[in-house]
Amino acid sequence: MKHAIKIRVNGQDRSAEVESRLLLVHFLRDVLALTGTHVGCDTTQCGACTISLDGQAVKSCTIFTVQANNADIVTIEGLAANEKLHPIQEAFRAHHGLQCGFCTPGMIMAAKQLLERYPDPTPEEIRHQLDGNICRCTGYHGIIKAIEAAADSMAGKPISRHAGTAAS
Amino acid sequence: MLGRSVRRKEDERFITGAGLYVEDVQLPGMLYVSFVRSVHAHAIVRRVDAGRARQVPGVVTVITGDEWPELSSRLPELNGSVTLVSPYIDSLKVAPHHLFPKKVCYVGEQIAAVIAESPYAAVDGVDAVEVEYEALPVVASWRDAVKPDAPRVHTGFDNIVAHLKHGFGDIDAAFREADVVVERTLETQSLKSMAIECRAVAAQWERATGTLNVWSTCQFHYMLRNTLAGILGMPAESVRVIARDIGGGFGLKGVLHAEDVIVPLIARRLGRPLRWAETRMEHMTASNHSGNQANKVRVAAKRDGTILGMDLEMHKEIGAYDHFDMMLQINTINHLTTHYKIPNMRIEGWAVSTNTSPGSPYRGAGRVEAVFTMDRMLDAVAGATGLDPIEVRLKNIVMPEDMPYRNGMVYRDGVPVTYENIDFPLLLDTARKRADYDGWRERQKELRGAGRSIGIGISSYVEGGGLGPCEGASIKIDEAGRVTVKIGVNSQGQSHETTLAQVCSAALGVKIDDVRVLGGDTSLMNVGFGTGASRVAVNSGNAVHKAAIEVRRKAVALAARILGCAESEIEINDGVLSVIGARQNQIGIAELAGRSIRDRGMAELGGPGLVATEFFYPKTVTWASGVNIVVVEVDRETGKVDILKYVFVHDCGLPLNPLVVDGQISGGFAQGLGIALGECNAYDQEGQVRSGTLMDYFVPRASDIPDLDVEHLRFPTPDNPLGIKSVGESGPNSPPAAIAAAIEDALDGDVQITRLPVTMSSVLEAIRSQ
Amino acid sequence: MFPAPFDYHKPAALSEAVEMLTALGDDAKLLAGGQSLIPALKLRLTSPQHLIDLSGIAELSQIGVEDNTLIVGAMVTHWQVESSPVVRNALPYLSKVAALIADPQVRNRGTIGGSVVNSDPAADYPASIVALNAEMVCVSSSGTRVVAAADWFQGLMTTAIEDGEILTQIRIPLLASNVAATYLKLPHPASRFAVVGVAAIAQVTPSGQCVDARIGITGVGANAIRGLQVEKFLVGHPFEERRIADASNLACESLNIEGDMHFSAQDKQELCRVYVRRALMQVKQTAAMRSV
Repeated sequence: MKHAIKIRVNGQDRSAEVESRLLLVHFLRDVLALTGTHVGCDTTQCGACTISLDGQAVKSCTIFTVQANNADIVTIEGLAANEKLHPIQEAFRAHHGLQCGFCTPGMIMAAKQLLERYPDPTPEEIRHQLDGNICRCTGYHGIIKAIEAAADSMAGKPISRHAGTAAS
Repeated sequence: MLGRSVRRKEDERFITGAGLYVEDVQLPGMLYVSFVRSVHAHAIVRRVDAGRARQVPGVVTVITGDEWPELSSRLPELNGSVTLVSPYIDSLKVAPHHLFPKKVCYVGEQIAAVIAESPYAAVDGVDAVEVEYEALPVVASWRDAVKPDAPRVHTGFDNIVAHLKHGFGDIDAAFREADVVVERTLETQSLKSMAIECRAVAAQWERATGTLNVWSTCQFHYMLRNTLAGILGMPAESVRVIARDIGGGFGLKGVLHAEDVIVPLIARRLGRPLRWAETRMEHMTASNHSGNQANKVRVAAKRDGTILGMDLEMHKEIGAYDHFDMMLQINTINHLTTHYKIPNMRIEGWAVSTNTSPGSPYRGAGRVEAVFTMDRMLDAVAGATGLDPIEVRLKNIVMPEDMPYRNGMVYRDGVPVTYENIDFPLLLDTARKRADYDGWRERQKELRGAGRSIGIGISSYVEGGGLGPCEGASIKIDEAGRVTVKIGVNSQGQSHETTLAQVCSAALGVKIDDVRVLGGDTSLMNVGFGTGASRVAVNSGNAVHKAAIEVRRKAVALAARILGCAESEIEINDGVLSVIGARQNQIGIAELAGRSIRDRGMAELGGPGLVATEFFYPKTVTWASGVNIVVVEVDRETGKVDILKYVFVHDCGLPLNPLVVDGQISGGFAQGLGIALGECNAYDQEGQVRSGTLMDYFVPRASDIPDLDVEHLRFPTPDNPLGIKSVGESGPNSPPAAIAAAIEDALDGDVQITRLPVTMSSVLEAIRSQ
Repeated sequence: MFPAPFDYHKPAALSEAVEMLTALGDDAKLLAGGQSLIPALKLRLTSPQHLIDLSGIAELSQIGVEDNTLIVGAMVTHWQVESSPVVRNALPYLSKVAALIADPQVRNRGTIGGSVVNSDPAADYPASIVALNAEMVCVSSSGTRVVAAADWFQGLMTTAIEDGEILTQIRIPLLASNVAATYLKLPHPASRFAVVGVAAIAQVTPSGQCVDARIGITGVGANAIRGLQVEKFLVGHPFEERRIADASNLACESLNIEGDMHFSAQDKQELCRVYVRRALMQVKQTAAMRSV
């Protein structure tokens, strides 16, 4: 069974005809060629597929494209505005918050929601809000540092307010 | 430039979602592959009926292995392509590994490939394939496999596929003279690498150029190239393997799996591009695992804690097919003595086949088992003699004045293991002070009085890295002044594009922004060996350095002629060559590169262009080292272990990029923590995987990772021009030993923690037994 | 990873949904947040012919307070419960429970109705649903039915809901200001579901007498249960440490607890006892603070 859908992705209105069972992550990757959103598991745990749907961080592997009809989607590709990186993207690079980069788009989209909801998070809050994202390379210290730095940057504070959670 | 925490160049594409992983590869007319996999751990495949499957909408065809002769090929026997020599082995008989076996030997082994227009249709097709099995008896644990009447995993082959022996000194005398003998059976679990990216392969036969293009997650892309070229009878250059970008490897992707070869072979025949991506469930069931290991060990010691000798029996599970002879056990042996002296040794080891997926290295590759053994036995000696664990270590430690120190082992390059310029006592002392060990011993007593179970654990590791045979680098400066560095290895996240650019920039005198490092593509260099065994920084780093020095030599020679001065008067800064003391007399490297194309003087400098290709052959491995100290609190009611403090002191020679080093330590530590507290790949009696999803296989999240207190020491190696060692496999080695020791200590040392992982359940069990 | 084909329907009203469900019968499954159902479809553990998406029915997402009762629509997400000012004000305990479920992304989509109907033996909400004496409102073509929590959870992934019924609301009596409540959970290291999860609610007089106690436990059996023996043991007695310890022993003695790959049956027995005791002690502490 195919359905006609309308969906806004990274500010662009798109329409398509999709099978009921097409997961949103596959629509984004294989139909729209937005391959920045990744698949890393099949039990909705790893978070590599995290995108923003109507302003909320959602695992795009656990929603059908038809459910996202009329939704407003932002993927990692839509985060930078006019070639200017989002502060979270800058912070991830500044603090070595990634190594292989595979979990990174999902991690950054989760961090985006984290900082929208908790603009001044403690390290414990950051860890708890990253429960839905697994990284195998970094051991998370760089990620936590990056999110702390992004929080500072987005609040207009001078960076390096926090004494690092890992030695430098 | 060297030793600076330069921001990574590769991050630009990763943070914007512009990386190109294998599953991102999209080619016109591409079809998708899904595999029919065995549901039995051991069975003869009597019949494969693809009739219904071929009718499923979207299914194009089903391949069962009988279609073309090349599908009857075998995977290469030895995957450890960087192993030069396998010491200690006196017997090795391994079964061949066919692409489409008629007898399946583990759950998940491939039986047929469904090709379809979408991955959804491919799975629909897989579900519609009917397979008739004749189930055979299963042997799912190595303990069952070594029994005389055990079912054979492979007909005509013993389940014990390899055997090794090693020793030195007089072990029997050591035990006769001992005041104290301690004995343990130490068991370490099987692990899955759990990189967030699963395995994948895409392939396209490019008729117009006669090239088979393959995109692969394989860490050893040249081995894949050579295997495919060999099977197809094509020259190696006709197969191009692109292994970039890769989302984590950790060893499991460092071995050829059947799919890596099958998919390109089918693509060649069908003339349509194909792509296969593993699902997580396939990864957990059908991909390789590291294999269970049991070390039965006896140590002879004097009452003052001096170790007289060690007797070790090692059994290692290697799964259904062995592609690494006894590599992991050899690594265990070679890392076994860590920082300490064992004057007499006897070692015997067996590699055992079981009806489980084939074994491959997992980050650490035998080092974790070595460290676990040595530290647990040192702690056992401490327990038996009443000495503090640090005192026992100081009693046996290799001193700086003992350097160069040979521990009696032989590495996988045939060279005797030799420590040089490492200060083990300093590492231990630094950790002791930083962790406030003595203070914590006091606090421990007080807190015990208040009913709190605090424990302290220590672990020392070494990391042999930088194994050869060699790696190369080709550097070229073009007429726009861009420096391209081509290497024969690939990255799964290790920051090569940055660290090697730093090496080039430092040696050549150009801006790092002008340097581009390209790896992970067999068309870049004809010979390469790949990424694993923590070898890239040493091998490729020094190759880049050598090549950069050679390009610099040519540039200086040409510039000297053009500027009319002596070569010794030329300096290079940010890509500008100028006369020392007369800076205005200069030429930019872009212009110089342009001139070098036609300049006849280049005849003495190897030909046109500012180019050079150099190979670095390490003499032997380098030895990185470290000491970890951990303080834990055990909740006796629940078995939960809280880490109160974790100190990680380490040396990796001169760091190329401290931020990258920190990342490697942090990531490796997290994996070590996982090994210590819960990761476990387990099978039931029928060879079915019990930990088939992340619902059962524990992988640390951010909330599981404590803060890490890291201190860096630097003991550079004299063995290579950059003085660098490795760090990739430093992180995971000590946490299991240190944490196990701390838990045992927290439980008053009444119980013996001898197996990994130390789960809440095993802590509860230990407490119950007190 | 790839579900089998199905037909997707999105009714705009409850009556339409009921009609569809009645017509399609066993071939259909209701889609709420999808955070449990879709993973099952991806692994092909279940392959329904039809999915009926309830997210288009606005009345199912309402939150309100009426007659001292919190009324939560079945399609209200865990994040909405976690963050709603209405819930935080009327029944803050429930917001805290919701915050412990799964992870932030899953909480944005997962629903209370989905969790309560799915009745996973290790899910978080069920322990609280039983301890809070909630009521489940179910609508079918034959009308509306209200089921008490005591009758709702019946077995492994089995509830009192009948074929053709849609859970529309969960009605939870508010807690009096002198009632203390806590939810303590031991998360499974891999799945993060509850190895054991204890919802403890108690009313304690200023003199330390327990006049009401309700315990809900998840993770230790086929479904969430009320610790009725524990409650009986506590009510009418001083709410103090010794009594609480003895009560927690009662909690797990009569339960039929099974082990799994990570925890043996004996482990879970001990953990159950410990968590019941700790939850009650936490409630005792909260109650004491209130009395001051």
